[in-house]
Amino acid sequence: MKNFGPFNSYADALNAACPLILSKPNATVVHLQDSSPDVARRAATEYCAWLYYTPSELYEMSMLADQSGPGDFVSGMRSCSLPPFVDDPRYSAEQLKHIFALHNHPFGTRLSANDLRFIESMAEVHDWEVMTRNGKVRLSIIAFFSKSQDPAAPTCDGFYQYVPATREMMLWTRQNGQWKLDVHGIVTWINERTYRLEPQ
Amino acid sequence: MLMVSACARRPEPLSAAVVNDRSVVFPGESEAEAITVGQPGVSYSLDGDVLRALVIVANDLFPPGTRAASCPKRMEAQTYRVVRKGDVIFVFIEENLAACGRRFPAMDSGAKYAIGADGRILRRVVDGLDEDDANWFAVTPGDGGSPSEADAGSSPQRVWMSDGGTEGLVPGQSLAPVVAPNPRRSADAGSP
Repeated sequence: MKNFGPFNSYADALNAACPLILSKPNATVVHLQDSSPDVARRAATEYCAWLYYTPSELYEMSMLADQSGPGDFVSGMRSCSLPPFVDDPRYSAEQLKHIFALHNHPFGTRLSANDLRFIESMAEVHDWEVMTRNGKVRLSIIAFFSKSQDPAAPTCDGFYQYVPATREMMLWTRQNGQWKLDVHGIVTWINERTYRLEPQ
Repeated sequence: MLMVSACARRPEPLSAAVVNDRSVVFPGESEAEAITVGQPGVSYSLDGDVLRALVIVANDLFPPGTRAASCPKRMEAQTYRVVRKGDVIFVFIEENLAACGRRFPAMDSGAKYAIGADGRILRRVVDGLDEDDANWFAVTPGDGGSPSEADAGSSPQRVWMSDGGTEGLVPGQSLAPVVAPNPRRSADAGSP
């Protein structure tokens, strides 16, 4: 993606990706949650992209996937279709290491069962764990959120992360410029559509 | 006539009233395989309550007269699983990958509804918009509660919180060792 990085560390890339995605139109609607909940639900928009590692040993972000276009707002589904492979004309598909499937949750909700279903399906075509200049990094899905009441300047307040290789669920929050791991547990599936978080 | 046309409201999705009764708990999967309706040469009967529930759900997600631009967001590109429990009809909606020739699902590609005997929407959980209590609860060791028991009245406060031992971690970093593939997928692979 133009005007994004590249970055030497995935943490820096995440720090940059979070506010960028949340700054897109209606990527966060918590400011409308109380005053206009119906408007908030209909306007809420998800954006998604891959964070990937290149042969140049740098972290980059793909173009934001074609989220709900104007013709899709007639549907109540708020899904985001992320192509399984990044199309970066500088490299062949096999040269790119897909690391984080990024998206936003406009209300700051937790990862859905279908989010987990998505990244587990990606684990069938991408390595669960790749070696980078920063050591091993595991494939995961991330949902950014903001708690900002100011739509003009949404803050990046945290993200949920799920790692299929370990079945870990994590919640990272940002406080006073520092990241903090708030929740850590292991996912077990109750059935195809319900998971449970076990403390670890 | 033009006046009427100009004033007509564009049908909006997710505009049906929702009771939002948090005591209504979505059931887990039935042991039995869901019966796929619509197979050639087989007749099925659907009672009015079930049909009404499906119509309510379909109209709320895909308002009549509209058609999403992208295939996976259309009514016909979903599967609708119906489970009746007491007076409540639960409808689970999920992307039907085959309908649009897709191999992989989209993120947040599901929804579920609970429809009461009077046709009201008791609960609605749309992926990416609504918190799904059933998908996030921690039980204390030895609790051993069933999903429905643990889910009833659950709230985010039940989530196990950790403050310690996280210094030096980098956002995005994983902590745990690699485990066996998700047993759910293994089980899927082994089923007939």
